[in-house]
Amino acid sequence: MNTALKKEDKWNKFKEGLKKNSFLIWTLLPGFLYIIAFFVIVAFFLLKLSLTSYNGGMTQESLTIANYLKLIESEEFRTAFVRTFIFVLITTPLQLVTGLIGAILINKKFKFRGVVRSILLLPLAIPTIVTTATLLLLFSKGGHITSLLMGEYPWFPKITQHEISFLNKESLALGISILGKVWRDTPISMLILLAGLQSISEEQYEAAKTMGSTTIQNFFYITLPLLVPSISSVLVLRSIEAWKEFIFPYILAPSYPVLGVLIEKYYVQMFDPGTASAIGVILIIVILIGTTVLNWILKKMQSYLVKI
Amino acid sequence: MAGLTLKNIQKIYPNGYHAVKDLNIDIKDGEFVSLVGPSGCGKTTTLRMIAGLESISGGELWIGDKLANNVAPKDRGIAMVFQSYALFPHMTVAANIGFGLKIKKVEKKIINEKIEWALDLLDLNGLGDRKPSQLSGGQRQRVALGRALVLDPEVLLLDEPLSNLDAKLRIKMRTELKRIHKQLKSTIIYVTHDQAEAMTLSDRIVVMKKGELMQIGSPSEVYNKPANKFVAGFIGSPPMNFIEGELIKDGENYIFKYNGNVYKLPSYLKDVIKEKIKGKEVVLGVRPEDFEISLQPIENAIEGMSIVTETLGSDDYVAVEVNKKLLSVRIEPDSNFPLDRKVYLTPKEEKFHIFNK
Ligand SMILES: Nc1ncnc2c1ncn2[C@@H]1O[C@H](COP(=O)(O)OP(=O)(O)OP(=O)(O)O)[C@@H](O)[C@H]1O
Ligand SMILES: [Mg+2]
Repeated sequence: MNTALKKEDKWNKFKEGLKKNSFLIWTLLPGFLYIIAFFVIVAFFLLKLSLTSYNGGMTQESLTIANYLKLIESEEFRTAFVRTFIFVLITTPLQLVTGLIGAILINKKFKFRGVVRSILLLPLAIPTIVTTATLLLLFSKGGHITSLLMGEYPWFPKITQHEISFLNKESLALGISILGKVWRDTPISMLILLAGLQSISEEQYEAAKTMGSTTIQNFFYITLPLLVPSISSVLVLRSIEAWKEFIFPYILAPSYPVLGVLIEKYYVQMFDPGTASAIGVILIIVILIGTTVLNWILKKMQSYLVKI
Repeated sequence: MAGLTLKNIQKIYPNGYHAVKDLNIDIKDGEFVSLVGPSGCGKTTTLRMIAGLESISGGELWIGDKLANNVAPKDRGIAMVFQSYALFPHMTVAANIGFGLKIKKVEKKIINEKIEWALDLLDLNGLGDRKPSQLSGGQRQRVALGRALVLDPEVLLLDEPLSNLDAKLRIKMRTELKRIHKQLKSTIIYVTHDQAEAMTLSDRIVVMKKGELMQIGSPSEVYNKPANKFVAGFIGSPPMNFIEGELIKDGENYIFKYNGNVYKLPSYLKDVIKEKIKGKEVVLGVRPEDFEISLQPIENAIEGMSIVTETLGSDDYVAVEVNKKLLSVRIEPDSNFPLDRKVYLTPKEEKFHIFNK
């Protein structure tokens, strides 16, 4: 009797709460539905797919971890994983540095600042496929860079006798993918960091100046710690992008697949959506762990920089 | 420790605005000098030029016996408290206060002692671990003050450091500032809107208006011998009463004619008039407390009607309408002064001011 009454009480309270916050609920509803449609449902089917094993497209078996076991045993997967990790470890900090340099540059007042800003934003305006195609033209067999180095242009000294096959050497092919990726995505990091820089009031630097703080000390004690939120956005966004990178390595380093390329291979070429999804799930987990670790490190760094 | 000399200091901002015009101030070592003036008169600009944060467009700035026009801020021996605090939002209160010392590579133990000292002095005990965003405006202001004080500057530049404190805390901090000044013996340049604050704190007061120097003098000088009508009206609360009129020569002495009425000026004003007054149009100035007020007709008095009384804490004032304008006159407290009556005002001996219009 008593408990039933309590239950009713709770239910009434709940209804009252609904009424009170109905405006809030209605305004949040679209966002809520969006998350369900594009995240929860997608993630659910991805997980389900990754737990389904297709045997050569003929039979299928549900709720099995066979796909995962297959991947762990696969040499190709393990190499691709390490390759992707290296790709992430290089592109992410590199984009932070290039973005920071660009942001600091256009945060200063100088003549032609507008022009410089437009030039720095240009990579964003060029379709990725054009960028990759250009890199392919430059670096492929018989491409411009090779011709240049072999002295085929009169204005450039001959540097090498033999043709360098850029795209047939793992480190070079991946290096060029990284180059393209960094070049293309630097403007995004730059804009995020620029917004962060502009939110730091000039007076803080002035106060520090009267205390004798040098430009370098200003950077480490004021700019950097205050930029941590922006830096964290850049690193998180850029590292996620790098983990799931596809187009640059796909075009420029097809013989050295990263995880993104491997997914395409399993799904399209090998008709194995189960394994492809398993890679996707592994990527999501790795990204979640990666961003958590990253934020922890950044917090540590910030508190180290601002301690007395 | 260092004195400070401003010689013909000018500031013209890049947009062409002439913010400070030909400022000449001589500040002695260890002096407490206040810069007062209405908003936008160039107080902050002057302070920033002294700090080295704003270039000097003309003139010379001497700190101690060094020409400092082009000396870097950190080598000027100054510390500044900014009008908007300029605290570091990402650092704790303690780290904010210790920042300057950390930059100067002072030993950690000494830094911590100094922070403790400042927290104690400024009544911020227990707030050392908070971030500035978790403090009230007044607490932030005190942190800014602490950040400057721990540096033992030769010259301390304070830009309205007490403006956000409540009345009680402000009075306490005034006393503290005086004590700190006595203890540290630094030269202090103190910017404030509040003339009462300037009066109680300073050795000398600099009054500015639209970038120009109006008067420099001790609090009693600017109060009792204001150089012009602006200073007379700016210093003192409630402000000085002004009556406009014209001057007529009457043998040796002068007669003041206002709106058809006449008032014979006392003979001691003769010399002042000869010295300062140009033309006939003048303004008489008398402070509220310098009037004798009478209900009986008096020969040679300023006549008016008593309108309302008001009380400002310890003092009572009656507003007297003269010439369609209200003059404020101090009266005995709780005197139940009769209203809507004709009253006769006579300024006290030697308390008459006369200015060019
Ligand atoms: N960077 C600038 N460029 C152009 N004009 C400026 C600049 N900074 C200040 N001014 C102008 O110079 C004048 C003096 O400004 P300042 O900040 O020194 O005034 P202030 O006396 O400190 O006023 P307040 O009491 O309101 O703080 C103002 O009219 C202001 O608009
Ligand atoms: Mg100011």
